[in-house]
Amino acid sequence: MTGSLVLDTVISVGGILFVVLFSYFVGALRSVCITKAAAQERAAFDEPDFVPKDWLVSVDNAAALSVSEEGEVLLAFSSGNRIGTRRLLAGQVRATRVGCELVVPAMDPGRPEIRVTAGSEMIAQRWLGLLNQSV
Amino acid sequence: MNFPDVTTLAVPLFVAMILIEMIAWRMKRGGDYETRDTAASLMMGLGSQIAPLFGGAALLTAALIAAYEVRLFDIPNVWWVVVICFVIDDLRYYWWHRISHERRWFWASHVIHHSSQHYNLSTALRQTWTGTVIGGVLFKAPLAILGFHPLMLAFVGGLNLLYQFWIHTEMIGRLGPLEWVLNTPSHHRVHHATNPRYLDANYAGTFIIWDRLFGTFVAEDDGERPRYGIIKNLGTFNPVRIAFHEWIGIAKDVVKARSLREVLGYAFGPPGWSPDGSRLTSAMIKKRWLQQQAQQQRHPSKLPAE
Repeated sequence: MTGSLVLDTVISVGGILFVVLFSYFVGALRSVCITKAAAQERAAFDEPDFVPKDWLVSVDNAAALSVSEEGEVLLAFSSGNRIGTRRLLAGQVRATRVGCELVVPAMDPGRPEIRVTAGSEMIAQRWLGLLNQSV
Repeated sequence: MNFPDVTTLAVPLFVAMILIEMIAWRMKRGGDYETRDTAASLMMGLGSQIAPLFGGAALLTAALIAAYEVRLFDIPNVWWVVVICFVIDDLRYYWWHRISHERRWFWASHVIHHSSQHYNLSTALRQTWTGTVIGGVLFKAPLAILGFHPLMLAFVGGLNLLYQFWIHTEMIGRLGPLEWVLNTPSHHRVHHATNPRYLDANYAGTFIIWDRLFGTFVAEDDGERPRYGIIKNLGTFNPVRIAFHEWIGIAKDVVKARSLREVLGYAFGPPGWSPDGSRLTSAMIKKRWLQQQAQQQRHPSKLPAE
């Protein structure tokens, strides 16, 4: 544009900031609220042969996880106003617990781990057992 | 004949059209925007302009000039040659784009463009940072060897990219008879969709005729709204992670490979390839879906519960 890389970069970053701020002011900064129904709907699309046994929805509605009869784990997480999922085979999961929070490595460079907060430490501990059952 | 850098010249137009589309979205005319997604797309677009300066652009230019030096014909730089060059380059784009979906080495670069779960004009600018160093020149060099000047090739390539900008929108429906010849928003929505019926389809740049000719055309079905993104959606807006996640994935897989066959399969097989078939390629997903459809037609009472 101007012939100067530095100046071009500054102008481009300024333009990006302008568009991003504009999108913010028109109300585009939104996060999805992950409910059991929303997680199930997305899971049915992404992993139609995954049969969930039960769901744990994070108290902040930012993530959810499910275990199937076969011990497979399905993670649902927020990505802005959309939901993404990861399916982990039985025996692949090495979840840990910190208080009420479960930390599940998603083994993916795009999303290394998912955090799900249970309603109580007891619930978190029960789910930790379910997640790691096949280890 | 001068060949301007049309992509750079069009940047103000890109910005204006994105802002207009955002306003139209707020007025409930369709489409959808999310701030972090848009920011990520624009950062990827900026990075795609800067990254080639670290050697990729020079490499590409040198290869094209070298190819042009051994040209078969002296093709003049006149307007009607530019038109022919545009059409031939669009055919080149079709195959380049197709292999970018069918082989993981190229997909690792192209996946960036598909990594948004949104489909709007900002998605058009979500471009790769590694596109100039993965071997795309192998597809472009034959045109230079034929005798098309490298600057003309850069110009028609830029025009093609420019054309593809406006088709990244949900706000435009179908365009009548143009749908037969041109790549349109409807056709390209199908290309960006992850619904099994839409996978591996509509690779066209400007002319959809290539897909019709080579059997990869799928029409948008009014009964099934496209769901955008990739099979394993990223869940990050970090540009560096977006740019390199698939390369990291390849590296991790190659490190744990137990034979040369596995190394080659992980790097150059279809995305989703695994030696034991435990992962799914898009062809496998589509096949599974087709089998389910056939099964449901044979036994309509066994439809899955809503």
